[in-house]
Amino acid sequence: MYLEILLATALAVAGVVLAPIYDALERKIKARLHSRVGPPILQTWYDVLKLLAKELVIPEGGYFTAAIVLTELFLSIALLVSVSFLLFFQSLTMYVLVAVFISALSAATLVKSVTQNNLFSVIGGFREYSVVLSAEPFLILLVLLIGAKGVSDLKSLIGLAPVVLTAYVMTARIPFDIAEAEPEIASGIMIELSGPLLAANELSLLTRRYVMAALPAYLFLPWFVANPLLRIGLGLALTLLTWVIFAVVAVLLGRTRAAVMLKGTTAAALALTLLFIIVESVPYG
Amino acid sequence: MGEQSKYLPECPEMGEVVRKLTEEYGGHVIFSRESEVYVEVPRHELRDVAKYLYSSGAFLKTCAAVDERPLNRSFALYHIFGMDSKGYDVIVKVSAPEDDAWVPSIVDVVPAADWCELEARDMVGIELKGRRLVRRLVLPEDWPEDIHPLRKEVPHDFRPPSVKAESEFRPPERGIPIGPYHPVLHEPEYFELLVEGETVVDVYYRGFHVHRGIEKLGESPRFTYQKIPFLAERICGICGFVHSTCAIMAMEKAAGLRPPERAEFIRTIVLELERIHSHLLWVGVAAHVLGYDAGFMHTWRVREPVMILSELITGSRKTYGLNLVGGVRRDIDKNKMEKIMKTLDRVEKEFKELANLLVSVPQIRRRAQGTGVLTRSEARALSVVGPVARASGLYRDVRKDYPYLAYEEASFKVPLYTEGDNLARVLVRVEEVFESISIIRQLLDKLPGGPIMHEKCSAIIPVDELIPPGKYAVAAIEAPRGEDVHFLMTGEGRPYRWRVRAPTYQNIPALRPMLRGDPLADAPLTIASIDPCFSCTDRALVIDVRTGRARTIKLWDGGVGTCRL
Repeated sequence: MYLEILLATALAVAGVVLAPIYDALERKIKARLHSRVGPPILQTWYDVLKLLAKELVIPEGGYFTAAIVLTELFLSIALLVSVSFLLFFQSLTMYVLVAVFISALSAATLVKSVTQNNLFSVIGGFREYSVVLSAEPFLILLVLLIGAKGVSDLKSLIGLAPVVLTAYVMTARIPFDIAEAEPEIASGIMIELSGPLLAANELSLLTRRYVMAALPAYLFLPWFVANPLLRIGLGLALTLLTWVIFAVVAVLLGRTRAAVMLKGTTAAALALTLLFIIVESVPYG
Repeated sequence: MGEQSKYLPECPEMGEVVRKLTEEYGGHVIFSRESEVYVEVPRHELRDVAKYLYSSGAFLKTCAAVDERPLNRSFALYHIFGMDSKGYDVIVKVSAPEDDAWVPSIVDVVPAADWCELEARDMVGIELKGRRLVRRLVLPEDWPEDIHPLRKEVPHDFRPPSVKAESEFRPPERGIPIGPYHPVLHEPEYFELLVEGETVVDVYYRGFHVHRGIEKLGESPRFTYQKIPFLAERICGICGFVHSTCAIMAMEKAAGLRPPERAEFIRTIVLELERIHSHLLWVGVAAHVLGYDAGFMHTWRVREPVMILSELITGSRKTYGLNLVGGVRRDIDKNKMEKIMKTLDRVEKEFKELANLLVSVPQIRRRAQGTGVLTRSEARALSVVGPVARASGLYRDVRKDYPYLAYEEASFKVPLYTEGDNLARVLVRVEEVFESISIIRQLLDKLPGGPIMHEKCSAIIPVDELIPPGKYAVAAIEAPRGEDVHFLMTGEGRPYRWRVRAPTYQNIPALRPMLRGDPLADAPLTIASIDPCFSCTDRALVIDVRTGRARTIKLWDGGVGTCRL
């Protein structure tokens, strides 16, 4: 058990380190699809380190915004740790913990946006709210369902579809980056952040993206693969694969409008989740 | 009547308009040319004259205020009406004595006069009678009340002390500020959007943050006719050649000389190249605004060969310095022609694929369709120009309405859509790229031989001596963004008054009806959809001609509206 705790922790630490590298990889992939060269693979880390070296500017929301940004970072790392533990411990408590952290992280993002005394941030906050509403309830439901019942049958893999869809929405990539939407509302929820706070915000966003890329694999792998080392290897590989797929999808799409997005994704997530529930409730044979 | 009878047989409709203006409204012809007639009317008749002209199909191109006190102790306002369907301009002049400097406002009759009237008030100090809303348009809030930069006694390098800001007209609610610095605006302008939820209910605009007084510079002793095209080219970083050609056309008209045919062909080819790269630039930016960066990058990849081609033909990717009064400075030889043809083939093929892909991306289609709608009647009332007009069902294209340079030698279509939404504006521009490619091919095929410079415009006779004082000229060119108008009143060796009206100047007021009722998310696309060029509108950049070095002047050093180098 100690070994597993150690492995899970190592996996979480690896996630924090890898997230900015994967982000740079995403930028590289994007650049190649744009017919550009793109940045070096450590670029996002360079960016974060540079931001950390800048002076601390407390945004107009005061210290509360700063505190919330840091809370968000802690919550995203906590979420990553709890998700890493899923690979080795499948008690319902673990799944509840993951659900709670997902929810708390979204709440922190919302609070962050309204504490900033800036119209763009408030608009971004409302948009974030609609993004969260359209995906998060389903994601949490799916996590809890899998935790409560477990998945052992190949047909249960149908559950991957809603998990991947909602996870993609939660990564705030195009077309779901409307809360940031740089050309429209000038980075919305992030508008007041700079220097170390922006670095913290960036790290928490990337960690969240890492969790969302890892989640499909980490939710399903333990039920199908017995060897813990193989789980880790597959988990890491699938996380990378999911991240790459997400990156490519983001390049192919444009940004959507809040109202359109809310309806479309809610409907799709609802339909896919229901399908999973139905498939799961059909008895064997 | 003698002067009028000269052109009566050539253009009967023009004769009818002149007859009406002179006989019914008490006007008299002060100057005329083939496609322009200048009629001075008493100021109390101006509103009726404007009503008559507007109802008989004229568009208001702009108005130009002139300080004519050194000539006749009065101020003058020239309203330039374009009879697009007939192909001639009627320039209506009203004078106001210097001690009673007012003219009647025509904005309720001709809404398109809104901005140029306010500019006349700011820059020359002509008061507007009968106007409900009078506010500053061009001059900043801290500019002194009684100094009007375009008055002749104000030196071109005058820098006033800052005065306490007057309270400015502002809507009562607090809106969403877009600008002066915003990711979607690549130049400083300010839009304030009043929203309910995510729906825009009204728009407030403030521009001219970087007004540098280029018109005033053109009248200053440091500029001559031969230098002004280079100054005009620096009005805009994208459609600079349009401004330089338009200024030159006005001067050539005033000088009464026509450049050799070959020079006209070369100018036309470069103008169309400029349209291609400008439209490609815009399509890319529109994709970026919609969050489709792949579209942005690939459009600019397709555009790059056009820039390289421009460098091959003119020596520069932008700001070509190709134009001189009387002709052009570089010829197109056989080798260049082959390269142009090859590049055009490639650009056409690649852009065709890309354009098909772009309009099929669901987010782009869904967001562009039905948003930013400008109805035909609104477009007509505001005299909007270019792709904005053509997407709203107004058939306006200077190349067809007032054929100039070599456009009559090429056959081309003018894309026309009636929807008036963002998608229509995208499609107009996409189709225009292909039309421009076709125009260049046709002109290269027909490129005539001969010199590229008028024989009179040699180094021996300075051009400044060819342009006599006291002449008027209006020149218009279909720029990528629409009709660009230059009004010239000649003086001794340099313009007495040079007025530039860029297309964006005419199109920005249309943003209000376009933005109202639309989702906030689409506002940046709608603003981008008129392809706003604020530097043109503001006539912004200052170039030190002696060193050729551009230098930007920060907003906080010296306020807006000064014209010091």
